[in-house]
Amino acid sequence: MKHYLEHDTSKPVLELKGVTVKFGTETILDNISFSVKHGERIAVVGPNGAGKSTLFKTIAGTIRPGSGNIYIYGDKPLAHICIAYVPQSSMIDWDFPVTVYDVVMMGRTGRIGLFKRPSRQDREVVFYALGVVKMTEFADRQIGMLSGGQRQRVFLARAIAQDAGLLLMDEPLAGLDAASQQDIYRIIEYLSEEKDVTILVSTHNLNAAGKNFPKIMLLNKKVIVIGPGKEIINTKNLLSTFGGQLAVIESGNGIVAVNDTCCSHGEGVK
Amino acid sequence: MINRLIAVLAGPLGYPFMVRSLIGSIIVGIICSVVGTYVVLKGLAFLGDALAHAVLPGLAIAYFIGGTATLPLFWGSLTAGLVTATGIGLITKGGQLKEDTAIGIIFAGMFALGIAIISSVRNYSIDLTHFLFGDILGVSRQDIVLAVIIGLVVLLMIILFYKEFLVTVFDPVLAKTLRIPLRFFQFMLLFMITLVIVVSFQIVGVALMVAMLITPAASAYLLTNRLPSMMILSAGFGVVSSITGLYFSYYFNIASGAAIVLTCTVIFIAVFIFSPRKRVFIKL
Ligand SMILES: Nc1ncnc2c1ncn2[C@@H]1O[C@H](COP(=O)(O)OP(=O)(O)OP(=O)(O)O)[C@@H](O)[C@H]1O
Ligand SMILES: [Mg+2]
Repeated sequence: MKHYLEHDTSKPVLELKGVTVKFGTETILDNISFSVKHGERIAVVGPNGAGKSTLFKTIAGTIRPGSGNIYIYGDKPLAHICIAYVPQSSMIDWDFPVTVYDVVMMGRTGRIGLFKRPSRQDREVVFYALGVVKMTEFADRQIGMLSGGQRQRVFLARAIAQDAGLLLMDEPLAGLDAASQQDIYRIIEYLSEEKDVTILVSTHNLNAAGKNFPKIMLLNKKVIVIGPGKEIINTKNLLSTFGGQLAVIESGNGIVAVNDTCCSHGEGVK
Repeated sequence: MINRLIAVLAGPLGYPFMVRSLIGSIIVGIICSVVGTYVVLKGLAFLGDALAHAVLPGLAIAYFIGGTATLPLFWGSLTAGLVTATGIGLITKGGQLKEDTAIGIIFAGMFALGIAIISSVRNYSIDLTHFLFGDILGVSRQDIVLAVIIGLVVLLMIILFYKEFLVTVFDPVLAKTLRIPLRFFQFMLLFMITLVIVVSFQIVGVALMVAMLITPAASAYLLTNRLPSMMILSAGFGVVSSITGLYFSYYFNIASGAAIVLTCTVIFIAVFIFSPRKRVFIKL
């Protein structure tokens, strides 16, 4: 399966250089620079208002940065259709007359091309994607008749059908029970490990981030730190990320217990 | 028995004007109902009525130039309609204002502009509102040709750009990440809807156009799970309403436009009551 632009996998999949985003006079993202290598899987963690969603929107291209540059495989992002973005709160009208199959097929719109109808291969890709997220039996269901966890899986299937090289999921676990969260984590893991998809997921759940992601980025307007959870989760970094919103209790054996007091999403740090 | 049925069905067809209005209302029924699915899905029920009034300045200017000839009036109102649609598109661009707010602003402004133009000209005694409220029984051959051409163009666009329109309407954020020219397709959709509205109300009048735009699509919305079936069913409702309404009007001496609208409404009520999936109806 080929992408629109050939991807030079020796280059970083994603690179931000001095990206600054302002709403009015307020700086939301301040001089963000980092790079993500091919196949990495990173959890972006930060308190409410830290700018996680803004960061994802900027990378996806729905917000333009005030200054700084974003590169996808070394190119300007507009040349790429390989970024899949699952927003935190989708503006989608769930009563819209589309089925699960239709929504996943939408991910292929860019690849099918103008004036063409989906080919057999496109249909196969869609069913393959539905299979990966275990939603094949729901293919013909109108999307309003799905549970929250099933909806997230449809979005994941759409990202798979899109042949995304870079997957951005903004708090995909909010409001899901533990079992559904595990399902989503397993799919994310599969995409990352078997399909070489580079993945960024934002979450409030530092614990789960540590367990399920090889790398964590702590974000609060700036990138506080980025690295493997074991190395970067310490009192100093957590305090500069969460500030007063978080009580950090360091226990004797080096495990940090944290208590998020800010969380309204029902998936707080445990 | 059969003979009697044939006689009943053939009755109105003996009159050329009835045949023309039947053809006219079927064509308008199809294109309005199909395009109407987008109008209903985007929650823009107000657009039809607003556009029909916003074209007044175009009508006024066209009347100065060409008098009461059909084509100049059509081009005049089409131009005004496209200006209105562009205005709506530009105002909603940043996402700060909702579409129905933008429609309200532009429609009021354009209508007032039309009145201003008319009132500034002395001896302008002709009542232009006559042209706003076309008459289904006065459909001319030229009207039909115009409706067929525009109908074919619009249906072709809907088929050719089906995928792109679907993504644009359903999930603009996805359209953007897929690098589909979102603004382009949003404007195109708005222009298509405008085209259909302008040509339809000049043929069948504002009230019938609005009904054809909204009611069959709303009925179909309640019965279907997918956009193509919604469009086909909607077109079916539009056609059935046109034919049934016209026959009723012929045999029971009811105003034709009203008879067609009432048929649409009856279908909707029946669907609403018996709909297998009662989706909450919040968009209209
Ligand atoms: N469209 C907007 N206009 C103005 N300010 C905005 C806009 N969107 C977000 N903000 C502000 O930007 C800041 C960062 O918001 P963002 O949604 O990126 O945070 P977040 O880290 O995703 O938070 P959460 O965990 O609650 O989802 C907030 O202070 C918010 O008020
Ligand atoms: Mg957010």
